[in-house]
Amino acid sequence: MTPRTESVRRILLPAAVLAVFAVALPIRPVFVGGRSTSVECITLSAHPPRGAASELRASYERCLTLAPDDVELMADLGGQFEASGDPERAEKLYRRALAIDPGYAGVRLRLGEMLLRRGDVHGARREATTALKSRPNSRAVLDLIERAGGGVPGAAR
Amino acid sequence: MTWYAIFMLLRVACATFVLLTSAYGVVCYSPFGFQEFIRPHVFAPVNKFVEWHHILYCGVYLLSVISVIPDVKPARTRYLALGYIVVFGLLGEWMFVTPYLPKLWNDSRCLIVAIASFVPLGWLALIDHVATHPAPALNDGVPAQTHQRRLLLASVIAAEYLWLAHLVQTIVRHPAIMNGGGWAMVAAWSLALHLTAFMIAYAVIGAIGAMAGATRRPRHWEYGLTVALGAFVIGVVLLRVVLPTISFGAIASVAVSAVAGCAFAVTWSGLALRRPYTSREAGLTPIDVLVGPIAPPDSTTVAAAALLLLSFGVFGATDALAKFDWNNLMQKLTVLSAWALAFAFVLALSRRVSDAGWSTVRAVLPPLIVLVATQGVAQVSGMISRRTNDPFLRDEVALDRYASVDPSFRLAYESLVEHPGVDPQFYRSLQANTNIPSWVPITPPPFDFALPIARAVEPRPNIFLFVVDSLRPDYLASYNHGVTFTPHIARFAADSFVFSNAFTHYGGTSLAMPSIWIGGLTVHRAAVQPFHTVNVIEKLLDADGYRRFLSLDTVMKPLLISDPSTTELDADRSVMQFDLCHTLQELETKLTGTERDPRPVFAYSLAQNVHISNVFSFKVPPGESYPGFFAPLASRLRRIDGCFGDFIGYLKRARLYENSIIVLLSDHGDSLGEGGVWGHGVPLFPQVVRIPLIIHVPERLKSRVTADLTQVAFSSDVAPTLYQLTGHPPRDLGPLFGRPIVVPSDTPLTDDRRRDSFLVVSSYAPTYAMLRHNGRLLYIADLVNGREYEYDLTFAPLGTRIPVTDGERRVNRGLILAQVAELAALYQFSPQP
Repeated sequence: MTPRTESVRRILLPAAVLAVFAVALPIRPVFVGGRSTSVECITLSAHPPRGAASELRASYERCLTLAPDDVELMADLGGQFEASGDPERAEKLYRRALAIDPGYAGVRLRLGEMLLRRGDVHGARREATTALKSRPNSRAVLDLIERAGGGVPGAAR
Repeated sequence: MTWYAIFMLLRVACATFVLLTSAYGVVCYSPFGFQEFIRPHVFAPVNKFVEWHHILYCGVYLLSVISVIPDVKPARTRYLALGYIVVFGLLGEWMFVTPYLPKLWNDSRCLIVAIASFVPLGWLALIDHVATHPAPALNDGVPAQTHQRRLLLASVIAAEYLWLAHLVQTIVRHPAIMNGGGWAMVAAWSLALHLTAFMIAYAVIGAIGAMAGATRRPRHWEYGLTVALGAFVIGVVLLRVVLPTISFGAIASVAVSAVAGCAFAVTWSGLALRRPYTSREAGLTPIDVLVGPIAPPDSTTVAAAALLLLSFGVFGATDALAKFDWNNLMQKLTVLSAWALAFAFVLALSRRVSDAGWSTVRAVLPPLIVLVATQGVAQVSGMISRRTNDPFLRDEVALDRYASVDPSFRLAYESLVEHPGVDPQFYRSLQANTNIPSWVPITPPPFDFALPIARAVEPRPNIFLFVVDSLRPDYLASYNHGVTFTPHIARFAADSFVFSNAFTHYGGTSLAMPSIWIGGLTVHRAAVQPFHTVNVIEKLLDADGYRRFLSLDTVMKPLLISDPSTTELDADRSVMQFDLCHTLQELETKLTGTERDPRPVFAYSLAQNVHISNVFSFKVPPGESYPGFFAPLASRLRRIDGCFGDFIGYLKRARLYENSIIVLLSDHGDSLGEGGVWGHGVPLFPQVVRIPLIIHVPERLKSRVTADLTQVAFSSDVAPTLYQLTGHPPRDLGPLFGRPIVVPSDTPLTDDRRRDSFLVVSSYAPTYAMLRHNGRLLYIADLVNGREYEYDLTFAPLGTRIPVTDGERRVNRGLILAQVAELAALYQFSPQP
């Protein structure tokens, strides 16, 4: 090999290595994903649609298996069950939602109303009293407490 | 050698002064840097440097003259040396009479200073090169070039040394952050990435050696090309790492980076050539000559000792700088310097390695093996993550956790690994809406929560709006039962609405404060003018005839209308000295005796007591202890809690409390070392965006209003809430504005807000976030660092990091783009791509 060819080889080889690095870098790892939820489910949770109850229920249930901690989905699905006359499943969902977000007064009030309709006055009052902590002086909450036969603890701040 | 040591010190002093002057010019030229740091005089050492610059210049000039005196006599350097002495002497005289730096404003003069500062350095380097030409070290007749075997050995050993030293130190300092499997995984990644970085250096320097070898004067060409490489690397670091953190302009960045890179490279080259050369050093390679100032060929003991201490130095420096760092910039520069030093020291130690000739296998195989191995590590760790539930083996989160404590790995990881979701189009769209230059026209329409605002019929309540800069909710007893040092605020909170799920839309004061006064989002510009048309709080004050007591900080002062009914508080203080205790005492003094004035009171302050720049310099008094908290901050908070309690006591005694709306909040939170991060600059981590928000309402209203205390609330809700409480029910201005969070008791319970998505933005850089699910999910797109994060805030106030799915990425980015576009449309501004 002539000196000139040898010089060219010594320049081109590191340059080729750098070219390979330029193509291969940066490293693009495939990191493990987290909340396995779809765009459809994210949109469903944020903007509950109007539609046939059975279709909606199926969508909610499917999305809840993907995002089992989505409180808004639970609240909406609970509402679906409540409207369709399945209070036990509704109550289960409401309680599941409240275990994650205990301050969700709207769900707590719905649960309280359900309990009151069932005749569980103590349960209704308990839920309403708890709701009052996150919604002090709320007329709707105080009203439930009154209907559940309770006083109005902390009604006037 | 003694003269050389003195000479080096003199030149380092000059270079340091030049660097500081140029850095000031750069920050001054950046609109963001000027508004955030220079105008409000945030840092006392910087203020002193500017004040004393002309004196320091004279001192440094004299030192540099000492270094060129020996060059006055020889003919070839005489005129260069005399010219330097005369020109820069005259400049010093002029600057002594009319100090230039204090007069700089945010315009092109700053850029001229940033670039022109390097002229003396370049001139000195020219003198050095002319004085040493032809350099004895390169002209001793020995055809020595850096051979391939030595270069490969130095690259591999330096990489492995840095990897091992940092890994061991990290394990010793933070043993609990990983389990055994996690340590193995991060160790493999770290070794692979360190080797990759140094194989790139090996290939580049090898190519330089090969190119030089093809010339007639290989040693000189290798030397020159290596200096040019140094200039290039320094320039790229400035362009890609340093200047983007302060949103410096593109063309200006290139100019400054190029000039600085060349100046520092030739300065170093001059230092290297000036080193006394002895005949015992015959056959030095060009790189040996270049690293000679720090790793002399005849001092292997020194090089070995320095190498051993290097990693301790890195950790020590990064610990010391962590609290002052901006987007980990100082950390990155420290690590880069350490990499260069490690390479230099190992090269010095490997001088005796024999030349085995040039080999194709040696040129190609090691880099390719390393590259394949690195890809392999990435694949294997991904496979392991998918097959296990061990949280320490969740690769992305584990690697981020390790990167937060190993600065060398962090640099390699951020440089060589691209995280999923990098989208240049997304970046460009948001960049066009960030740090909008002052010449781009923005004409916001008037914002009005109530139109017209009729004067309130009821007794008009006093309004006290106290903003404590950077206060975190977990440092208040009302939010954290572990806090024992804020009893007075806790007592106040017990008689108020405490919003447990409150956030700011902006991670920095410059936009957070205007958004409070606007009652909504603002475009990304420090001062939107005319501000009065969008300042809904000011409109309320005008309509209801409030007399104002205002502590005017540098953010709000230029935005508020000067009103005859305004009494300025803290007029004798610079903004960083705003002390809530002083402000409240002054307010109390000025209110006393004015009880008969029928006009209601509006008072506002932005206390800086717990701003990080004040907290760092604070020494905790002896006897105080705050386990589990950052003691200086807790101590300062204890003091202002006492003052706040005293002021509430005064309001009660003056019978003002019963008819007052008192709002206590912060403009944003702060990072206090979580994940190795301090401050509230670029990132929007949960601890930066969560704020305390406590609202006391007048007695007569208490039984008539309610609030959802766990629903997400924002500082921009304060303005519409004030409208509500003063008898002006606000209109719904849409999703970019706040809503009243204290409402009539009979307001139906709705959960719309729990389902809404809210934009959160860094005040300083293109970092955008989306807060959803009633504040339980925070997605962050950090476009400065090319990273994204997601936090689950359900059970932990500071959140748990969770990996980002494609679905979450798509939805969140879509929401961010949509809201940013809506904001631009609202403010009638067209983003310039």
